[in-house]
Amino acid sequence: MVESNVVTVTYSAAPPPTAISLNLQVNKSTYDPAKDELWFMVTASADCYGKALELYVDGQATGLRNNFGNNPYGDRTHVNIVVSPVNMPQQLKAQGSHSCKVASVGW
Amino acid sequence: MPVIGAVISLLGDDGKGNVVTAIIVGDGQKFWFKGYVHDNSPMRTPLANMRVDIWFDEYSPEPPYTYRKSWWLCTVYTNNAGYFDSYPYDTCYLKYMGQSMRGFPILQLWQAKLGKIWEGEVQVNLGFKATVT
Repeated sequence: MVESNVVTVTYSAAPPPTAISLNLQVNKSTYDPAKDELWFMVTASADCYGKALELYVDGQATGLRNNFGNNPYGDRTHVNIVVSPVNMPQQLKAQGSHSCKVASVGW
Repeated sequence: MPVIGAVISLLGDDGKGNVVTAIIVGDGQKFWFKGYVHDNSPMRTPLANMRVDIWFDEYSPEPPYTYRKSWWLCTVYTNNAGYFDSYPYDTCYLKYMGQSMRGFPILQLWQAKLGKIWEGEVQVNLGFKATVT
């Protein structure tokens, strides 16, 4: 028989608060805002089912939101924000490179 | 199934973003276990379809913390990447039952499917392990 390392579980009457990190990726490095669709893929470090997030571009909120509860496959740690010419935020229509991030909404 | 030379790396997941070898949980907070099984070659080749049993190791609550018994919690199998995860069917939680005469918590260990596994005084922490047989 092979044994693993030991994992310790400590009880605390006041456990540490939830510390969730969000990771953002995008499916294209160059795009045409009049034609292309951009997929912003968000991965959370822990189950975030039912929690919402918003896309920020160049430090400004875009109003583009999604919710981890909307993943069609029930994945509680992954959701996409899809940007197409129809809902392209103003910032992304400007030529040049943009910094993008996501932030939690209400949690 | 070759188990000689298998290496199991076990981690605890507190469901709050911490996946490490030492987790801290509150009353009723679900936690579970995950990890990898690979061989001990320099390549650390993942071992797929390995049966992994996860256990709670009971020790005496006071020094010298002598080993008493291993309580079986669940069986999981590794995937092609050698990965195993007891979530979502075999999660555990601790139930606080009060303080002992010596001022330490009396805790119950519950498993989602099996119910109450164990109850006792805990001075430091609870130890869990995984085995491949």
